[in-house]
Amino acid sequence: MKKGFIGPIGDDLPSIISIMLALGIFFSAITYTLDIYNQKKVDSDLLKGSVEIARAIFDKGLLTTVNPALASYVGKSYALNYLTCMDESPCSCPANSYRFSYLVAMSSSGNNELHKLVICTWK
Amino acid sequence: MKGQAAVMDGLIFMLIASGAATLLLFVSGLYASSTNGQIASIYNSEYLGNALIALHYAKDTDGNWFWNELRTKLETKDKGTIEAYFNSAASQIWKNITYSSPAGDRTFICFDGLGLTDNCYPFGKVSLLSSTTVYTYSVKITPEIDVILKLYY
Repeated sequence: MKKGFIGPIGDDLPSIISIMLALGIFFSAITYTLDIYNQKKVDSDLLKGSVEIARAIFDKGLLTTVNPALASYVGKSYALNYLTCMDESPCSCPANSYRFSYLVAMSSSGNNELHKLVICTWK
Repeated sequence: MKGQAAVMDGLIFMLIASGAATLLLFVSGLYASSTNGQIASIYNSEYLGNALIALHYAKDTDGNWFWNELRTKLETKDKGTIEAYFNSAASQIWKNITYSSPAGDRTFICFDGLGLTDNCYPFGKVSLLSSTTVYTYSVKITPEIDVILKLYY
């Protein structure tokens, strides 16, 4: 047996530890980056979906009623769930949903009034 | 000597991997911050655009078209007349704007082309803000006057 030889793995142990550490740092960074990317993609889809839903609902500018069904194709294309609610009415949006508010004009018996419309979106 | 060389190799590899990891983290940080900025910008612009369309259809508490009345008041170029309108017949409209606005009380309606030094309603408040981000959307109400909705953050 050679002097100082402690086996094929044992001999390379110092470098193996450093390499493992390096790989750990590298792959942690990749995982973290992918996590951020995926989270931002979800955020971005929720916002884009909300804006598209708003566009579909406000298409005519002046509303007589809020018809969320108008935007169902948007919800499907972005694979998101959504809910609309007016003013102070109870809005049972899930805790993890995004809430975006808009100002809308609604016509009721010849009188046009402004209202706050909230659109919640979630995955 | 062999052991020392192996440790050196490992350390060099660790240095390279750490550099690559730092670069990845830097890029992901840039991506995250730019996406946040884009999301805020898209939503605020969308809110402002919708709000101006809604104002086009709005009527004040006297039953007059808000846009027509506002045009009349603006043509007087008198700050008092404009303020009085927002405090009376258009007060509900203004309340609805600030209530629905993502910027809340930091929402302003400004009038370009009147020649006023302080041209944003509520008057005298914009200069008190120390906001760095402002979102705006404008529409011409007369060939000379632009109405601008502004959100200060």
